[in-house]
Amino acid sequence: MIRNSDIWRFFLRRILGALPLLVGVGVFTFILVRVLPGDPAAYYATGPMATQEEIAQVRIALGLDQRLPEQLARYLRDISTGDLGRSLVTGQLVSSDLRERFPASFELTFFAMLLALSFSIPLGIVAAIRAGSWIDHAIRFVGTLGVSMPAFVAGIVLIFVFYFKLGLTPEPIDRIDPFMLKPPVVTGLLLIDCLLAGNLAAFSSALARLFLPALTMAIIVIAPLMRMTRASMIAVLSSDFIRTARATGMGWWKVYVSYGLRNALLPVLTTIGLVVSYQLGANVVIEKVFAWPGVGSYALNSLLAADYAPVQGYILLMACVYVVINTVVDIFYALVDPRVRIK
Amino acid sequence: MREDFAASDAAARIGLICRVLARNTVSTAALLFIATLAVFAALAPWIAPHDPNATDLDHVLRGPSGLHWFGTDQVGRDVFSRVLVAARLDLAIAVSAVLLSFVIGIVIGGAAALYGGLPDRMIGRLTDILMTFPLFVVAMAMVAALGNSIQSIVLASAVVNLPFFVRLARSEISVLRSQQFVEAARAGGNSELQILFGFMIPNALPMLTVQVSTGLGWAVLNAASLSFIGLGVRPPTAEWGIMVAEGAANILSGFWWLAIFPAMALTLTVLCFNLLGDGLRDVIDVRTRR
Amino acid sequence: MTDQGVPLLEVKDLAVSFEVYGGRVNAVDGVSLSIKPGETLGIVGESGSGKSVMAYSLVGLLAGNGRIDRGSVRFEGRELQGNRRNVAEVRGRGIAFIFQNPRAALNPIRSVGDQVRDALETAGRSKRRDSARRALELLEQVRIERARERFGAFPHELSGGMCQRVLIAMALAARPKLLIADEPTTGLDVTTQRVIMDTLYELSAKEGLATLLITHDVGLAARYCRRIAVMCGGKVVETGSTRNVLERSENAYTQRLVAATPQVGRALIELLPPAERAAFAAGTERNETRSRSIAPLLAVQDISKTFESSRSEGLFARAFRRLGGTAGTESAIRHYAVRNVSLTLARGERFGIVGESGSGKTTMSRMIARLLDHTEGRIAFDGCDIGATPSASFARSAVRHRIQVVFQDPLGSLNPRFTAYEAICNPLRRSESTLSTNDRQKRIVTAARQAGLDPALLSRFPHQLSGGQQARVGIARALVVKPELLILDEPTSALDVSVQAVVLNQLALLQRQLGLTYILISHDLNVIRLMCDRVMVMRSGRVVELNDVKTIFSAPSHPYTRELIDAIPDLSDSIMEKAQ
Repeated sequence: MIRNSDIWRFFLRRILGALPLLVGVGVFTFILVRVLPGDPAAYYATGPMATQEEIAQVRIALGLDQRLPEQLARYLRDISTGDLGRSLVTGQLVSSDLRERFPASFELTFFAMLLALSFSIPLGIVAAIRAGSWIDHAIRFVGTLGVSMPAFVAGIVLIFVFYFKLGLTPEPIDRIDPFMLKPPVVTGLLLIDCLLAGNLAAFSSALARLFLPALTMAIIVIAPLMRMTRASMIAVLSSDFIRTARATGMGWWKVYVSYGLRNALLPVLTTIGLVVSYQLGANVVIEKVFAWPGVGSYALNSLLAADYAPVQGYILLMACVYVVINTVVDIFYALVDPRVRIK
Repeated sequence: MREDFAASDAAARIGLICRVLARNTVSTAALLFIATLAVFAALAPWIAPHDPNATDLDHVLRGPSGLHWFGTDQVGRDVFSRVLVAARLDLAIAVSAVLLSFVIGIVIGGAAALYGGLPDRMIGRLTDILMTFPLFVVAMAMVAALGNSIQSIVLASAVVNLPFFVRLARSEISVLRSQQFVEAARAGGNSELQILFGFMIPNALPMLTVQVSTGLGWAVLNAASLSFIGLGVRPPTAEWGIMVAEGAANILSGFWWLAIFPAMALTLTVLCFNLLGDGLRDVIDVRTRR
Repeated sequence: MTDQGVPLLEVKDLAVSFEVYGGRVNAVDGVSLSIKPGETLGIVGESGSGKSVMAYSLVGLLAGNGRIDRGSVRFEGRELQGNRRNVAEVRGRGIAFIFQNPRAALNPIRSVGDQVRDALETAGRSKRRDSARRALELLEQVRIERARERFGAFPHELSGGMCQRVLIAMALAARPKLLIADEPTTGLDVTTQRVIMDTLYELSAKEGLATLLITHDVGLAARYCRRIAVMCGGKVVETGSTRNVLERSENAYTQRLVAATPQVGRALIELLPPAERAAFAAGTERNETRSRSIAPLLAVQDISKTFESSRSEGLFARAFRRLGGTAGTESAIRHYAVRNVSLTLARGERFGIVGESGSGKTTMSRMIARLLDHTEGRIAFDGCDIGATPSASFARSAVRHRIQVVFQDPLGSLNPRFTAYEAICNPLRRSESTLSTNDRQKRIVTAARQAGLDPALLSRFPHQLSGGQQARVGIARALVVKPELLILDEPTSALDVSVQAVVLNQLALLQRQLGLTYILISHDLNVIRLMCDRVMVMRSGRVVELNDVKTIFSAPSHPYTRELIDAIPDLSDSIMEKAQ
């Protein structure tokens, strides 16, 4: 019954379990990139003006003349030290490009997830309490509608309505008004940097521009989160332990929030982990529609320009982000639900 | 004297289907829409009012009218005809992709769950690895690798749908494996293969059907999104995603019909696939029969 | 103690209905009863009688689509019906509950100690500071051993019996006047049942609690209640003192229910009401001189089954362990399900295996049926070593149809997508594939009749059949291939007692008519006594005792067997009467 050691053991096991996954991710990306057309040596060349000699030298230096398993080993070693090659288009190291642009995507995705949760959880709870009624059907329908829209359709429709027709939001270019003074970069997260610098005008400008793309990303994932909340809440509300709580005379808050909601939100937590993957994928499209300077648009532009090192770096980054998020979710889940710790 | 011990005759069965459809009005509506769309899409080349590729530079960017129900685009092509022909393309891609991933997914997932042990864990691991990548990005990369063609979109969409089918088949079959009626089937003299096809798969069908329906929706979304960003199907082929992409630029100039109609068609189709799922499950699952 | 004449709880003409697809269903239809302070009233009924629904509706614990249509419920003089405030005050403090499935009735993510504290604080009996101490006291009061250690445990870490004690502690936290126990011991082992009920009885006697015991088990009610109310179809058919209801009832349903409860000293045929006995009476003269072939039908020698459950380790963890690290790993866990069991069966013999959960009886049954491979030992059937064929390929062996199984879960053992006809047809098709459709049909109808199943039901799906009918389909399915050895795994434990009476008699009749050899597995020694000649008592994988049924009952040689015998209810033995 000593619980702390259980938690630490789970923590360790979970992290160890994530490592093979990351290795698998690396291998898979390696295969994927080898399939892409183009000369791998050119990825790592010193620049777009590399001569044939230089490319040949680079090829030997990179070991591309060696056998495949050795290439794989070398590749894995490279990426684990952060060497992702160089972009042909920007001329810079892929890792520094990604580092520069990642905060923009992170801010967008995080804010979108926050928005999605703040809609889907209350809606899911309402739908569960009024299960079977027209409210329930209406809520579920709206959710399904949201998930049926491709990200780009949602984005375009929102721009049309909010920018073009209603004029409520600024034009969908970039994260902040190009004529406004930007705050000094501390975290890379614009909203936080603005607050840290005390620049409220920039803050509101950034917020206004963040709103539409985040809303778009939220709309397309509200359905699964809301459905899971609803299903989970329904199951919990009809469960035996809620009946015990009521029979014992516990008050409304204790029964429905402390006992009920806490149990009901557990599966939602897992769903968040799954949904993030979809959001990261939609990222690419959203960043294109809203001209958002994040890693998604970076990857897309590189792909269309047949510049493959950034694409590979992007894929690796996204997979790692997903693994990290899911590991965090699992650990958090284990903190709340003791049944999981002893698997 | 030979009596018939069948569960119900044809008339009763039709009656059952009608009752289920009546109970799920939304799913029925969705089914009707899809069916109608499928028919029209199949016949598109013959019933389209105008040639979808015929440009008419005298009637550029006209709004919806009696002649052009959805208006014309920037080179004078009839939007309605293009939307119709695009339906044919997108539905064909979706159906092929889902069919492929369904068959392969069921076989792999089912076999893994059935034999258990190391192969099962390996398959589970591989599926997990595949799902750590944002699947849309995987599709992007595949299409880029395989070249811009319809086949590559189909393949990419199939790969994107595959893990869901594998996972579902694995979980359904592993639950069914430990059910008492499967044990009873063994005691009755059924071999493992007979159990798989006679007992397990029919019972897994309801869940699988829902996944097929949702999968079709995903596939349509995928194909359209890929074309939107410039991969896969290229203009001047009529495809919903391309049409929205081309129309997007014009939307801010006020020519909304170029993008909105294909966008609506897309959304409506995916919506109906999603709503269809539940109704289908009820029809197939015997337990809803009274 | 308050005035004995004034009832503590008075229910008048209570009616509850549920909304289901197609209309409303009356679960409770005009029930009236009363309980005096300190009294124990038992409500006895089979499934669908409405007893639990009635209890839940008293304090508004009905599920969403239930509704109280009419009636009055007065507790300590105050009307609860339609009065939310009164109900809120009474819950926990006046009326407390304990439930079936104790583990599910506790919050899985909260420690049991905290849950008892919550109950204490709700009752207003202590503040946050004291509640821990008082909760611990309560846990000790309900006889939880090592209560201090267990205080922080979670429900899934405790046994069913212990979870039930925690629920009792929570119920007693508010010092209620009436305790309603809804099937409190269902699902628990027989020996645990006894202990829990005794604890409950003692505690309520000490606190002067009135108890409403809801159960399908007549024996349990007889033992612990002074008065009994019998419910059927949503109505109370009879109320009275325990003695009167059980021995001198004039109500047909009560008589049937009491008769069907297996008791020490009663014969199998006596489980049925006299009017229905004729159909099953054939061949009851036990033919002791029936010749038995010398060679045993089944010979099991020193059979063992060991399960190795290694935690599903990832490759990485395994590699880590090999490198010498020990963090987070444990060696494979070995579970000895069955150890060195031997038995021989002659043809025509009726053999029983009895044990509680974890005894290994189910594993034994699966091994004999060749659905599971044994780790050691030999199994010989009619002279040939059937253990040599692995269970995975046994399905296609010629011996398969000669050993058949009737499974425990009547609904779960039937393929939901097969009609009854198809379910019975399937094994016949596999074992005799050359039969014509007509011949097959004849066999199926015969098997259905033998199992007591009306052939008109053959076109139905399992979910359209009642529990008893489902059980009969399972029996017919086993019989259709004309087996020589039948393994019955708890064939009636999921059935109502009156249905069980019919099914058991049917099985006995079949055995006599067809000369079957069977192995009956049960946790209920009484059922074994009625149905078997010899019995093997198992515990933790080992054989504790193996003997004739007569000897086991008259002179058990092992204390565990004695415990099991003592746990059989004797309707004439009431703890309530002893107390007087």
